[in-house]
Amino acid sequence: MLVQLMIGALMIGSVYGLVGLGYGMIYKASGLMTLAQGDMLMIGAFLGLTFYKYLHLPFVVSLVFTMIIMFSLGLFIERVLVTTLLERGAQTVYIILCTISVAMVLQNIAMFAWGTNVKQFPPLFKKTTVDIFGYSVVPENLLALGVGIFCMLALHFFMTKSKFGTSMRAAAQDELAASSLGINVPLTKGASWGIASMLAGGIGVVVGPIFGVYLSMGALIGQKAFAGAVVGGYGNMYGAIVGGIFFGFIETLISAFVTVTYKDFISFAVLIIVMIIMPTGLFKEQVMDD
Amino acid sequence: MLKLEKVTIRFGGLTAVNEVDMEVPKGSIFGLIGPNGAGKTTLFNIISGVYAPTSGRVLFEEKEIQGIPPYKVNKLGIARTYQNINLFKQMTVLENVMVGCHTKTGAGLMSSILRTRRQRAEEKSVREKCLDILHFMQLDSKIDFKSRNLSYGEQRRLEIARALASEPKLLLLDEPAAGMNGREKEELSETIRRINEKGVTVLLVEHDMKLVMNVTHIICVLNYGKKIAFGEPADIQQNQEVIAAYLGDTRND
Amino acid sequence: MLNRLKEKKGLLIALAIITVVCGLMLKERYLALVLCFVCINIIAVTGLDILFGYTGQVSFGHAGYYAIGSYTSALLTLRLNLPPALAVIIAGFVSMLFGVIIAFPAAKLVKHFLSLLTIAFGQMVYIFIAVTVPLTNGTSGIVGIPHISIFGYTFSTNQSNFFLLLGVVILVFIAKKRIVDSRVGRAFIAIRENPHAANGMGINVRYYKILAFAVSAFLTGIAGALYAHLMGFISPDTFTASQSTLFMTMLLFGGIGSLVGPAIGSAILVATTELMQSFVSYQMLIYAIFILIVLFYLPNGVVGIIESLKESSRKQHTDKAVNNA
Repeated sequence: MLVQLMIGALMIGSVYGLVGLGYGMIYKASGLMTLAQGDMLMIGAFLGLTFYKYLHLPFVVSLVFTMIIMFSLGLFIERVLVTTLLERGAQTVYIILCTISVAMVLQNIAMFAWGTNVKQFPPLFKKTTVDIFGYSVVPENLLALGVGIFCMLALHFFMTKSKFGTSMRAAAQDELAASSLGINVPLTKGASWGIASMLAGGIGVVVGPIFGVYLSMGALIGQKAFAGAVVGGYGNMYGAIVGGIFFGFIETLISAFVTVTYKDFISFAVLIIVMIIMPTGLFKEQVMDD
Repeated sequence: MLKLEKVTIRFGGLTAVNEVDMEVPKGSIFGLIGPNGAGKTTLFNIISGVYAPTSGRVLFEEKEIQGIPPYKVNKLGIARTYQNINLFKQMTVLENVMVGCHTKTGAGLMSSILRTRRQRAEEKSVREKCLDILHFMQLDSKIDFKSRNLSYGEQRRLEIARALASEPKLLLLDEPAAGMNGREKEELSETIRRINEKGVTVLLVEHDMKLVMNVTHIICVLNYGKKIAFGEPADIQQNQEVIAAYLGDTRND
Repeated sequence: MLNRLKEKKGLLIALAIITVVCGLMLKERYLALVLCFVCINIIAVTGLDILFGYTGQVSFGHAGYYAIGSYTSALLTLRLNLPPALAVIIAGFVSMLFGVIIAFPAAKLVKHFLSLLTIAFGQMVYIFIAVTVPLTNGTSGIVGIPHISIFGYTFSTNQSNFFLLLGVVILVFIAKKRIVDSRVGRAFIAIRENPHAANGMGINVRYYKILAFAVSAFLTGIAGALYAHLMGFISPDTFTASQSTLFMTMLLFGGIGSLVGPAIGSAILVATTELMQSFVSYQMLIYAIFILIVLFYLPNGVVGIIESLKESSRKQHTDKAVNNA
């Protein structure tokens, strides 16, 4: 029982972590905030469902296609909407509102395209449970966990080892210096939005089989991922993952041992408490108005 | 009136102000000069409460004020202007000065909503006082302009007007002549003298040597966060260490 | 004196326009209800304006205060049998209390994190009212909330409610105008314009930020309470995160930091929502389009357009004068 709980907590935690990582990347690269991650996840799930269920593509191919589309969508939002707004001297609050309106448009599009009902993925595996050391575990959970860990590692190596990843980090540190070194700073910013939405979309595809695919599936995940990103120290990639897993555990343990009804309420309360007593998060980033 | 005792501030490993002792006598015009990066503005920020010193004491009228927040420092009677102009851009010139009266007035939320007799009387007297100050600073033709629409020199004058509205005993001027032309600078010297004649002690940070030598009674020279000279303008001009510091500065430029 | 006259003049013109429009609309029961919605939103958005427009603190959780006001007033009248008029005022103060609680941490945070904190607050309130069945009856909502009655007169029709709400709106406008033109209002605006300089000029920034939250939450709470007594029925659906966004959209569309901005924004958005009743599935898209229009074409709202028109006409005026001379 406890082991299943832990796996479940890790799974949902890494989901929060990866979605939250997107917030962190965007903040680090451009100092901005998006609120569209949750709906990116929802759109990703619907796209994955379409590729897998209706076009009968293999699951991995569906996942990759979805991620490519989501990357372009993120890039589009940054390059076309956000940049234009910034050029007109918009405040950061306006960017947030812009992402909210993007989220609303995405929801509406999804509603027209796929309807308001909960859609189920056909089962990905033949077995409904697998045995691990004598514990029965839902294989879809393991898949989500696996994909989550894979994405984290891939991203880690991409950011630290690849040339473009290094450029992205350099640009996030010091735009001016980076651009004088010949780094295409606007591209790195766009890429960070692209990667953020790609992660959210990809996660959508893997959690779709677990939770079902529906319009509001992203809302809560998006907000808790955000909470995780804040707790981990906003703008810190690894912090976002730690924070996400932190909330995965909090939520799982609370619903297992305390109350199912109030688990989301308590998650947000924890977030507010963290913001009060530790506004810089676990891994310090500046959030205070000095 | 204002006394600094071994004031030191470090940011990380950098010591921006190092054991500075200084006393500003009541009623004087006190000049604080030094090459770029000497720690003048940092010292200003310590006095006005923006930074708390790492060690040392700041005494204002025999009271320790180091580390207390800026709004309380203002209430004690120290007002300041900013090197990089910090006006309330969307507010009118008059409103900017009226904000300066904040500590001298007391109307709260309820009395404002109810427009009590006292609140109305206070508003009226604030308005009149601010108009007087604007007249004094020769800004009376601009009272209804948004402050962002003023010229650079006017904005600097408005900063002084806003500071005067809090009826300070000590006025801190952070490079008030920056960006002014010759004639404006002369008028500024005159204004500073007239403010001083009203009984306000003035602490002036300024790059323009001519203005400083012309207007101040006493000068303190900082270099690399340390006090290197102290005395009357005539003595400072002869001081070898000061000359060396400034020559060094020009070489660095 | 001149100022007082100006204030009165503006008020009179506004009243005249409102009387004409409303006279025409009030004949229809349904149109009267629309006017009531406009009034309620004006009050709520005015609350948001004090916080965001004047003090520069963003909130994406105002549906939370709206909900607290609504539920407090509904429960006070139904459970404790308090007279609705009294319950509305108490609801305002309860909402204000929550505003202050949120303001304590919020007053220290920069914009992004303030956005998040307020979103989290809005979500907490929403989840609370949706799941706490014994108190709020959960997602089924509360029915049978009585109409407001004052001195034995019950505001039971939409028409009579409109006059009541209009009265509240006028009071709110007067209060807002007086706050803005006072020492407190100047402190608010100074904080919005430059918190560091405000601090240097002797303004206790934290205190005034909290005060702005309190006033804002009070007004939005009152609006929520009035909504409950107007409709007689409330459920969590009204108090979702989209409601917070809607308040923000109304404010930005009308124009921040002005008296009429919230009125224009509320009127236009409520009208659009009502006109689009038959296209309910497009509602989100419509709101999104409104936001995008504001962001890309109306960064200062409708009020901003009016201001710039005024400015350019004034400029032409002075240009002419110069030419003539």
